Amino acid sequence: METNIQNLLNILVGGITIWILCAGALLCLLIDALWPRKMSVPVYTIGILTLIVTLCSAWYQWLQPDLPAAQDLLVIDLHTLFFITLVVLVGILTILNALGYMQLHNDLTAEFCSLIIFSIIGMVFFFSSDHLLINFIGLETMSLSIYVLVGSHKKNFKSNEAAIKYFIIGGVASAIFLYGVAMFYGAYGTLKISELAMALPTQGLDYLPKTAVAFILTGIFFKLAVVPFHFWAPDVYEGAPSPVTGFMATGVKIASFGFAIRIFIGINVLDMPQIQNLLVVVVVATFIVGNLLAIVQDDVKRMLAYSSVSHAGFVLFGMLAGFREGRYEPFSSHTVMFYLLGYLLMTLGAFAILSLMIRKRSEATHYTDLEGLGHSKPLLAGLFTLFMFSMVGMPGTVGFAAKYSVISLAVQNGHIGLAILAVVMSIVSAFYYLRPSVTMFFKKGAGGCPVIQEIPFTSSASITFCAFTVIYLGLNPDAFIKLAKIAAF
Amino acid sequence: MIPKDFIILIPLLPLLGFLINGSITYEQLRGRVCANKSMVSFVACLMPFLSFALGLWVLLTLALHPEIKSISTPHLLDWMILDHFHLTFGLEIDHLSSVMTLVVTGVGFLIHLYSVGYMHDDPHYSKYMSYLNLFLFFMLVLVVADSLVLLFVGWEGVGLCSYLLIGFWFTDKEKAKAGKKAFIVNRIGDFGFMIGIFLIVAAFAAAVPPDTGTEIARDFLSFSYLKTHAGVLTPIITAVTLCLFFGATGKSAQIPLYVWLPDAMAGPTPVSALIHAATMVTAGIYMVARLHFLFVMAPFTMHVVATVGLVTALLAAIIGLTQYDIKKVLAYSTVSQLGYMFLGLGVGAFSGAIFHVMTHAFFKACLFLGAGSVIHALHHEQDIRFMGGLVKKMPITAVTFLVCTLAIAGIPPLAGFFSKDEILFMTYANEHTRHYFWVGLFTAGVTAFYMMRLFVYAFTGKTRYEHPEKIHESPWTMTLPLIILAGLATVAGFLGMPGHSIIGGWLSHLGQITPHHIEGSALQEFHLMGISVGWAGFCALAAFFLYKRNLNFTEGLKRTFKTLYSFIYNKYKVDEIYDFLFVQPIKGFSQVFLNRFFDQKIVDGLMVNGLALSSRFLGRCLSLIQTGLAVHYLLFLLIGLCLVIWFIVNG
Repeated sequence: METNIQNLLNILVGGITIWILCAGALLCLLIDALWPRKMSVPVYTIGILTLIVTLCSAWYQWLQPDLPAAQDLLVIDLHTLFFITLVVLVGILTILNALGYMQLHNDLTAEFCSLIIFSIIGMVFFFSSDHLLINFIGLETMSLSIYVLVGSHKKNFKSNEAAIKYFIIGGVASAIFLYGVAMFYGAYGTLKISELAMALPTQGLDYLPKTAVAFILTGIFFKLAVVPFHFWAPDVYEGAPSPVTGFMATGVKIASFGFAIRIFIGINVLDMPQIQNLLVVVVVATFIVGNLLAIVQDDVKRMLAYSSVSHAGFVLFGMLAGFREGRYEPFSSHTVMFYLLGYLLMTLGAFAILSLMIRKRSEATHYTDLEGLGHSKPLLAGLFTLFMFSMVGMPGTVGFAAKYSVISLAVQNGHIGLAILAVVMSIVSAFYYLRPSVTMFFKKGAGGCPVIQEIPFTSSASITFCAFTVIYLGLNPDAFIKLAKIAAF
Repeated sequence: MIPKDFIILIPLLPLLGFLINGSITYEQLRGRVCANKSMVSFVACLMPFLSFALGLWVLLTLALHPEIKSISTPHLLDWMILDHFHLTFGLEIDHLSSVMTLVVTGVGFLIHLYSVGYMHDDPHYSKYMSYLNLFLFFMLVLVVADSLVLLFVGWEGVGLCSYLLIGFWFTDKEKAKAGKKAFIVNRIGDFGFMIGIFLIVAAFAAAVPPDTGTEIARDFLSFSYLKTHAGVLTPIITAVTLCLFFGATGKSAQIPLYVWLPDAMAGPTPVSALIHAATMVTAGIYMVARLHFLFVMAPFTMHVVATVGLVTALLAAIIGLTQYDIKKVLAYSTVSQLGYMFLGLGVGAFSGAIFHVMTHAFFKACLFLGAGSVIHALHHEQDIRFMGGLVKKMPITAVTFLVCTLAIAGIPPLAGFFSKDEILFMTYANEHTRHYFWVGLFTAGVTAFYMMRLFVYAFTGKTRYEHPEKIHESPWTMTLPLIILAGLATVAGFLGMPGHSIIGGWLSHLGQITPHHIEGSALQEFHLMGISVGWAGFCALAAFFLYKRNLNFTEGLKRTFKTLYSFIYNKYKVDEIYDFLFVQPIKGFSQVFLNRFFDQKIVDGLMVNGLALSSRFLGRCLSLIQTGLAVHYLLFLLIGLCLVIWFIVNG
């Protein structure tokens, strides 16, 4: 009896972040249901407050000397808390972006907010659970919300197309993932990652765990949109409303990497050097294809979609660099974690600006739309350039610190060739990252009204925050790298 | 009360002035405000004055408390924290820097005041004033820095301000070029300075045992630490000091890098007075004096310093004989006087050199300001052949100019006599450099001669200016500094009376090599003094009477020694030689190889455009499979899955 109460308390206290998120999301839904389409701004405020409270409680838990004992389904450790911080940050910035975006498009829907929060709940389950089935449920919760979010521009043809496309292909990918989970169960009779890590492969069934790993990795690769599982990404990213694209490009990838780190440590026991070879192939392909395709795009949003592909390649490179003698070193995941932090800041900053681009009541993100922006909105254009510089990896921005930590880890662990490729590809990426700035500053507009006219308060808040942190973390990355080192297992 | 917490204000106040006037300039350029000139002048003059007052306070504190060797604000800022190397910033004022602080702020304030009158009608008045304040800030940082690196920061900063102010009227191409030349030549010297710093760092880094690291403090570039641990540098001390001295030759316009200073006269005349005569160009002397403990360890370098100083003094003085531009004459006389100071440093008369820095600041600033006053009155006429007879039109300028001419000529009891004489005596006292004394003495005569020539040309005789009626005395903001500086040039010498020299006692920590090993020194000093006064007086009188009688009495000589004359007049063709030896080869190499071949063909052609084109082509090929059909994407997903399985199972 007492243990039951203790358990219940543990669940209540340990999972406090999730409780807060659930309550906030439901409250948002409730308010919108009671006063339909009238209380949008309060709903968004509640959403942001919910996320901020979540963030605070996560940090409070971080500071506790002893975290709640390992739960069956939800593992609250520093790793989880770090990733919760990341995805909640993504959520806050996305809601801020979306609020500005929707004001400009005159299309303020309150359910957007609760969908974002539900998706974040899914993410938290995805990367924090120790049980593959719960991971899967988290994955699905996250994905289902995003399918809807992608199609939230109901009257827009492209948005609908993207949603359907993403739903169909994403469904198949989820099925593949689930199939892998099932095969694990078939091989070992358990779905707990911690138990899998201790299980020895059943004799005669050697191919089964291997295939299971292949299926699960495919599912992750799909969510990460690395080559050759990236085909959906440009179409979906382009069709989705800009804030949602930003959310997908950051939140989903962060959650997937959070899960990937867990599963990589879990399957260490399988002792499969093949995973490294596979990662090398995927990373090389992603670097080359992602960057080359980004060059030929004529649309900033599509360019950023490919750029997110190549960034995912970079993070995967960081995962690969963490392997030593065929096993993934849990501690080296701090480079990945820091990279993700930097990546989310610069990407969401860029998407915040992208969300403001509107012409004739629809998104206008073609390169020609940017012409003359450097003259009408010099500060905004300058900040966009800052985010692009950060993505290239210019020193002084967080992009440099992030890329540097990944590349230095790779060099330490002997991946010299890949490190050189990564540097070369960063140089190539300057070609397309600087193109928007060139267009904004050096090409005079055709005389039409500038693509950005109004900057809502919330958008400027998120842009300012991102710009500040991009520079601050670029100049002083040590403190946060240290934080990531603590959070790495 | 020890003004510990206020030291930082000494450099910061001028910086504040720069920020205020700079933002006014910026707003003015954007057309938002119309600058109020009185406000700008007030701010610009107030800040140096306050710094001067603070500097005076520090000096008095040091004077009243003999037990205090220096006042410092330790550890203002961490710049770079590495394992065995800490770079921290702090300010420190000791006896040496307190003198320099007072000279810089005092003369600086007077020249600010003078500029109010001189630059009043310039459309970029507030910009000019803000640059002047910025210069003072950097100069003060240089002076009160407690470490070699912070000194270098100030050193670079004054170089920047010098560039900005020489090219202040940058729409005139020649003036912009002069600024560029000054900057580039200084960079060459700075390169030597940096190598010197790097050598010091390398020596200390090598001295640190990698494991323990306890023996060497981490902030080993601070002067106090360098001074006590200079022994570490013993093996490479000659190289270090030579590199540092090379840096000093750039900033202080010595051979081989003196070529920029005459051209620097393109800037407004108060700038020439402040930066290119009184303060910035003495930074090299200050640096050597500050690091005297290193230089005395390297006798060879000391010898080089003395020789370079002496040769520069002589050659520049000879050029001075031939020039007709009033500012050029003064510029060469500056180069020559700086040479004297280096001579003093080289023979170990550190306090004498600093004493000469101080007196020179007074009379040379006054001379330049007097020249500025003349130029102002004559509407930018600088050729002394078109002046003359100004003594009646501009009495204050003329009298102050005469006083300072006599001071620089070394006529007692004016300031220049005492300081120059101390250097010359120390040269004689040092057995190794006794023969240098005679050259120095000869140069002193040459100095007296050409300075008197300048005075006679410009101020006496008939007015040769075409509109004599337009000439008028300058306003009080210009004449007041002249009077004060002339007064200082008159009395400052008594600070360094031979026998009981106040300045020598004040700067005794520089540890000058006292001439006690010379027998009968007092008597000998008076003998030498008599010789030098007699010689200088003779030269001055000769110049006065020769030129007074006939301004063109040298025409015959000029014709006879035509080649020699034009060789000297064109400053020994050094510019042309440098151009031929260094500038043209470098230009050719950059143009033909680096630009046309490497940059255009390799970098632009092969790498940039080639990479871009091939990337584009590949990208287009790849984008062909991006069909947009969900069915195709599903197919690719399944193909990808198969590849992954194949890799995992077989790979």
